[in-house]
Amino acid sequence: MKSWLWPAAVTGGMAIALVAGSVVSAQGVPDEAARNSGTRISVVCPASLTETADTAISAAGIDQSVRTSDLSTPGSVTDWPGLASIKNPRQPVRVSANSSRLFGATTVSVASSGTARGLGVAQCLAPQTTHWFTGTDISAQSGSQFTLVNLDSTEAVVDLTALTADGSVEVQRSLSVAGNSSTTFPLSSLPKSTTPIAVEVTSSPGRVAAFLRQTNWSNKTPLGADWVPESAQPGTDLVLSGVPNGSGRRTLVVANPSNRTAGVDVQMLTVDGAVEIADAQRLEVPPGSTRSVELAPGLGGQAAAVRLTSTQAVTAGVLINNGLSSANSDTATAGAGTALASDAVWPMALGKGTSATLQLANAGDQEATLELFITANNAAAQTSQVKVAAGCLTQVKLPNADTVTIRIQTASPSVRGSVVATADLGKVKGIAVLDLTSQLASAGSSGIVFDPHLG
Amino acid sequence: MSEVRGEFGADPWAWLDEIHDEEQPDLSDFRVLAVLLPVGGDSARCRSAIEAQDAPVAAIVTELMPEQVGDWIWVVPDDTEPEPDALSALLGRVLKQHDAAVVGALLLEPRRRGAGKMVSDWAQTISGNGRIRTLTEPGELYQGQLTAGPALGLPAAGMLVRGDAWRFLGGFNLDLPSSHWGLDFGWRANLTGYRVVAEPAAQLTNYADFGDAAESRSAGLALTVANSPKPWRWLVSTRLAVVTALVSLGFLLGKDLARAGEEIRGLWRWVVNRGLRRDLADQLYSLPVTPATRATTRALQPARWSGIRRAFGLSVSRLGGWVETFSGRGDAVSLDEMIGDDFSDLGGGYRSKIPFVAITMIALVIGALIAARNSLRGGYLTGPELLPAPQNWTELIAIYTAPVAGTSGGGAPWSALVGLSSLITFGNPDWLVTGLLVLAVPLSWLLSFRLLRRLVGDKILAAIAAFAYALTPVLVGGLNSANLGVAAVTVLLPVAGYSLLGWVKDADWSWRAAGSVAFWITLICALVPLFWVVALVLALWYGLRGHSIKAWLQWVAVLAAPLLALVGPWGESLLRYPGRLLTGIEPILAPNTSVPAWEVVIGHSVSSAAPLWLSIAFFVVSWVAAFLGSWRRPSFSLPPLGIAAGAAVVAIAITRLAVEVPPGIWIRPQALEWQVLLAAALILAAVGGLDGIAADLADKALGLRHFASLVLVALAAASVGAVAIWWVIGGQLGLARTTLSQVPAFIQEAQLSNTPGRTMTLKVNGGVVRWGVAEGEFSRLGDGERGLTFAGDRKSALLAASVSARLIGGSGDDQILPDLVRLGVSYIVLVGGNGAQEIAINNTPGLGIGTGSENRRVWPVPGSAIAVVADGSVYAATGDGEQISAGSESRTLEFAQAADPRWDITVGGVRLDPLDSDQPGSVYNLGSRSGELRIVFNSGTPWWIWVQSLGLLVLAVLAAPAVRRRAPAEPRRIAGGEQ
Repeated sequence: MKSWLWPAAVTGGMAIALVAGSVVSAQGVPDEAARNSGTRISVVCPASLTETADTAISAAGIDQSVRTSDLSTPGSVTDWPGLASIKNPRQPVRVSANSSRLFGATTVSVASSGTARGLGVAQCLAPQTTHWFTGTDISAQSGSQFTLVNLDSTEAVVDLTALTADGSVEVQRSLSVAGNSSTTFPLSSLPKSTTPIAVEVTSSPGRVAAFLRQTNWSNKTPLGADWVPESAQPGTDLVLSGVPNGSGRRTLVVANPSNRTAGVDVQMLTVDGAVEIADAQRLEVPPGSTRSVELAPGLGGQAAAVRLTSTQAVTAGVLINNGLSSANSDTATAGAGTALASDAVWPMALGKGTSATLQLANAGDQEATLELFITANNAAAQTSQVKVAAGCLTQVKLPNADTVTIRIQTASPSVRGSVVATADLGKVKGIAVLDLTSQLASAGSSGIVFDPHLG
Repeated sequence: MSEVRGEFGADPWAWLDEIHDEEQPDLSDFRVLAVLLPVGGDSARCRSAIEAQDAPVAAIVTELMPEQVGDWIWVVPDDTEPEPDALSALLGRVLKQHDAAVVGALLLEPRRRGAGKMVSDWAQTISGNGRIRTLTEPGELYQGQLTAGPALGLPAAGMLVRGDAWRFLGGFNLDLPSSHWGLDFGWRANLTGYRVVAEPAAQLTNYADFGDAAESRSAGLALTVANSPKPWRWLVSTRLAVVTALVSLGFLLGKDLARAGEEIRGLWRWVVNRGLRRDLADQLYSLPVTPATRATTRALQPARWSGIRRAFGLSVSRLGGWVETFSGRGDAVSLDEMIGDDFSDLGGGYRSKIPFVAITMIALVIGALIAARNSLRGGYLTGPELLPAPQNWTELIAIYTAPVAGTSGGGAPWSALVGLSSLITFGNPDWLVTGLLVLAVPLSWLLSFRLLRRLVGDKILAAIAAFAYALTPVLVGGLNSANLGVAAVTVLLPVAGYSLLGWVKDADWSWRAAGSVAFWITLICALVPLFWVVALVLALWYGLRGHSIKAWLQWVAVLAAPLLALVGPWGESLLRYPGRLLTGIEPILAPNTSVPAWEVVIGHSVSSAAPLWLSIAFFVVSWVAAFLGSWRRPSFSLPPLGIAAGAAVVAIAITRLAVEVPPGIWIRPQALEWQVLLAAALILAAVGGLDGIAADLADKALGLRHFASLVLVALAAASVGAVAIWWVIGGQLGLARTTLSQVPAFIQEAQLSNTPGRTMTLKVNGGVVRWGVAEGEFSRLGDGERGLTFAGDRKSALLAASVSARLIGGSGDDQILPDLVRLGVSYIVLVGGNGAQEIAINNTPGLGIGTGSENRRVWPVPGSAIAVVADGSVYAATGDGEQISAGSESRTLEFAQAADPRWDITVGGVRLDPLDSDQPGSVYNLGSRSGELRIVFNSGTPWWIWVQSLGLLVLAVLAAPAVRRRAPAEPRRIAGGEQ
C-alpha cells in the first residue's frame, strides 16, 4: 500500500467533516425570555379638554385583559377582558396591562365645531423622563397647551425648553406635578413666530406623560385642534411617515438640539421609491434652533414619508392641513417615529364615518415583510402579508368601523408606520395622523446584556 | 651497555628497583581459634580459605560459645571467604595497636566481571533512629582509600576478638539477627572500655544472602532503646515508633510498598519481642560502664542532626535527578548516534543542555511577563472568561462541595482540584491561577520539550516543536480570554503524554505507571470531560496492540479513574445536563457566538484569537508538515494525525450545538481545548515524522525534496516566529488585574452584614449596558458552574434580567420595587451611565435617593435584603440570627433563595412553613411569630467527598515521584539502606 494513502485518507476525512460542518448551520442558543413577574405597565390616555368634542379611548390587549382607572382614583379599576372603550372621559385615563404581553391604547377626538374642532388621534403614552414635540405652531393664529400627567405616587418636577428659530428658550423650570394628577401648561409665554418650534420636556425627579394639544385659529374661529405627537429622540437618521396625499400644508420642521450646525438631507419615500424634491433637498439648522421648509410643492399631492439624514442628532415633525377653506379646514401633525416593534397593537375608535389608511415606509435597504392583523370592532382579525420595498411607501386601506385594531408583526427593523384618518365632520373635513410607535418598545428592554463579572 | 654511575658512584635510578621490604611480623605466638560458623554457606570453601591463611590458625571449630576458650577468636561464617592475608592483617593490627580487643575486617562483594572491589560491609555505627550506617557506603568501589580506625561496631564476619573480651562480654547476642551481632558486640565492647578497630587490609568476600530487613529494623530499634538512658527510654521508644511510622508512610507515598512494609513489620516485631528488649537491657546493665567509656562510645555514633543532613542530601539528589528529566538526553536516537563509532553525542552534550533549557526558559518567562503586562499589578487576575479566585484554597473546595439550593447539584470537581493544587502556591489560588495563565507558554514549553526529547532525536527540532505547541493557547485566544481550562490543559497534556510514554514503553505494564497516567487523565477530564473519549481511543489502540490481559486491565482502571468525578452531585448534574460533557470549565462565561467550521479548524473561534492570517498560516503549515510526516514515517505519525483529525471533527461538531449546562443555562460549547489538542497532535505527527529528514537528504542529489523541505522549514519557522511576536505584543493582553468589584466599600459591607442584601450593578460602556447581581464576597472562580448569584434559581435570574432592563429603560413600573425585594437587591449601582439613565433609575417608584459621583451612582432599596419580613407593602430587612418582633398575622418572610425543602427556617425555634408560589425565590408564612430567625441549609453528609478524596489520594501517590528504587545489585545486608 502506498504510504501516502493513509495520511490522505485521514486528511480527507477531516475535510469531509469540515464541509459537513460548514453546510450544517449551527444551532441557535435559546434566548431565555426575561421574566417580568407579572409586571404591569401603565400608559395614560389624554381626555378632551372641551365638552364640544366626542372623545373615545380604546384599549386592547393581546391574550390578556386591560385595566383602566381614572387618573385621580387609581384604586378604582375596571378590567376589560376584550376591547376597552371609554367615551368622553373627564380626566386622563390610566390603562395598564401585563407587560409580558401586548397591549395598546389610543384616544380619538371628534368635533365639528368649537375649540376642539376636527379629527384628532393621540397615542396613549407611558410616563417617561424625556419627551420631544417638534412642529409646534406658535404663530399668532395658534395656541398650544401641554397636559402633563404623573401616574406615580410621588411628585414629578418638569422642565420645558423650546427650540425656536432664534435659538433655545427656557419655557418653564421646576413645574411641579403631584402624584396621580395632571396639570396643564400653555405655551403662551413664548414670543410668537411663524417658524414652528420644538419643545423638550424633561422631568427629574419623577416622570410624566406629556401631551401637547394645539389649536389653530382664524381670528376667533377655531380652524382645528389636534395633538402634536411625541417625536422620537433626536437622531441622525429619522423617518417621518404619515404625510397624507392631497393638497394642503406639508411643512417640515427640523430642530437641532446639538451645539453644532446640522446639515440635514431630505428625501421623500413614496410609493414609487425614494425621491428628492426641489428646494427641499437640504436644510442647514443652526445649533439650538429650528428651521422649516414647505414640502407640498415638491410632493405634488402624493403621500409620502420623509427621511432625514443629518450630520447632527435632530428631531423633526411635519405640520399638515387639508388645504381647504377656513370653514372646512383641519390640521394634523406627523412626528418622527421609531421603527415598528416586532409585534405591537393599536386600537382606534375612529368611527364608521372615518376613512383610514395605514402608511408603511421602509427606510431600509432590503424589502420588508409585515404581517397585518386588522380587526374591525370585535370581529375576527383579517390577516394579510404586506411587503414594502426598500425606500418605498406602501398604503393599506383600513376598514370603516367604530373601532379598528391594527396588529403588526415584522422582523424588519426599518419600517415606520402611521395611520392617516380623514372624516367628514359636518362641514369640516377632519384629518388626523397617528404615528405607530410601541410604548412597550420605548420602555427600553433591549440593548442590555448580562455580565458575570458584575456579579 | 655501560652502566650509568652518578657522582658518588651510586646508581641514580636505583629507586626504580627499590622495594619496600617491610619486615614480616612474627605471628606465630598468636593462638587463633577460627570459628567457622555454619550459616548455610559453602563450608568447604570457607574452610580451605581459613586453612590457606598466611597466619597460623590453631584450630577450627564450628560452634560459637559464649565461654569459648582461646586467646583469639576469629569469627568466619561459612558464607564468607577470607583473603589469604586476612588473618595476618587482623593480627598485624593487633601488633600495631596492642590494646585492640576487637578487630574487624572489610567485607567485599563477590567479584563480578569487570568490576573492582566493592565494599559490602565495613566499620559500623548506628543512627539515632536505629539504623546501621557503615562508615563507607555499601557498593562503593574499594581502591585502598580506607584506613584502620576505631568503630562502634564491626561486621561479625571476619571479626577477631581477644578471648578474654569475648568471654567477659558473653560473645554475640544470638537473639539478634546476624547483621547486628557485630554492632551489638562492638557497642558493648566500647562501653566496657575495650578498643574496637576496623582494619581494611583484612578482607573477606561476602556471599551472604540478604537478611530480613524487618528483622534488622527491629534489632536496630531494640539496640537504640536499650542503649539509651533508662529514664528516657519511654521517650526514645515513642520517638522511634513515630519516626518509623512516618518513614513507612514516606515509603508508602514513594510507592515502595516493600520497604514501607519492612518498616512496619520491624516496628511490630520490636513491640512484640519483649524478651529481646529485656535481654538487651539486662546485658547492658551488667557492664562496667564508666563516663569515659560512655563518652568514647558516644563519639563513635553519628553527630546530632546528621540524619536530617543526610535526608536533605538525598532529597537534593532526587530533585536533581527529576530536573534532569527536563534537560537530559531523551530516548530517541539520532542517525548520527547510531552510525557513530563512539556514540559521541550520548554524553557529550550534557553540560550544555542545562544552560540551553535554563536560558530558553528565562527568555520565555521574560516574554510571558511582557505579554501579560496588564496583569502585573495588584488585585485579582481576571479576564473575559475568568472570575477572580477566592482568597484561599478552602473556599474553592467549598465552591465544589456546597450544594446549590433548588438543584441536586453543586460545584464542579475541577474547582476543588484547583483549590488543592493551590497548595503549591501556599494555599493562594490567585497565585496559582496567575502562574498558570501568565506562565502558560514557558511551562508548556518546558513540559512538552521533556516529552519531545524522548521522541525526537534532534534537540533543536524538539525545542522548536515544543515552542510551537506552547504558543497554541495564545494562538487560539485561550490566554487572551483568560481561559484557565485551556492553560491548564496545555500544561497537563505533555505531562500526561510523558507519563503515558513511560507506561506503554514498559513491557511489564507497571500498575504504578498506570496509576500515574490515570491521575493525569483524571485531571484533564475534570477540565474537559470529553477528553475521556481520547483516552478511550488510546486504550483501544494500545490495548489491541499489547495483547496483554494486564494491559487491558490497566487501561480499564485508567479509564475508570476519571469517573471518580461522577461520584456525588456532579454526576447527577451531568445526568441532568449532559451538555456539560461537551464544554470546558465555566462554560457560561464563554461567548455564545457561532463561528464558521473552517475557522474552528484553524483555531480562530474567538475574537481574542490571533489574527486570522496568522491562524491560517500556523495551522496550514502544521497540517502540511503532519501530512508529510505521516507519509514519511506512518508508524509514528499516523496515530497523532488521526487524533488531530478526530479533534478537528469534535471541535466542529460541538461548536455547532447549543447545550444546556448546570444549573439550566443554554450556551454554545467552545472548542479551545480541542484546538490545542489538534495543534499538539499535528505538531507531534510533524516532528515525529520529519525527524532526521535532513540526514536522509544529505547524501541524496539535490532535487525537489530538498526544495520542498527548505520551503516547509522556512514557512514553519516564519509562522512560529510570527505567532511568537504576536504573543509578546498582544497574546496575553486580555489578562487583567482588577479589584473585586466596582461598588463602594459600604455596599460590600452590606453584602456581608447580618442582614445581607444583593447589589445590582448596571455598567454603561460604549452604548452597551451590562448588568449583574452580586452577593456575599462576589462571584469567584468556580461560581460559574453554580449559576453565579442566583445559582439554581433560574426564575430569579430571569427576573433580574427583566428588572435591570426596566430600570435602565425607565419603565418605572410599580412592580420594580417588589421585584427588587424579591431578588434580595438592597442596592443599585450605575457605573458610567448618562444623565438620562440616572434619571430613569431616579424616577423608579420606591427607590431611595441616589448618591455618588459623576461616574458612579448608588440607590438604596429600602427594606430589601435576601431575607425580608413583608407586611403588605412594608418591608423590613432581616437575616440569620436577627430578632424578629411580633407583628400581624398576615406577615410573610420573603427569602430570595431558590425554594428547596432543605431550607430549615425557624423563628423562635418554630419552623416556618413555605407558601406555594410560582414567583422567584421562596416565601414562608411568618404570621405574628417573634424570636430569633435561624436560616440553615441541611445539605446532609457529603459521603462522596471522602470517596473522591481517597481515590484522588491514591492516584496522586501513584503519580508522585517515587523514592529511589533499590537496584537489584545493591547491597542490602545493611538494614535500612538509603531512604
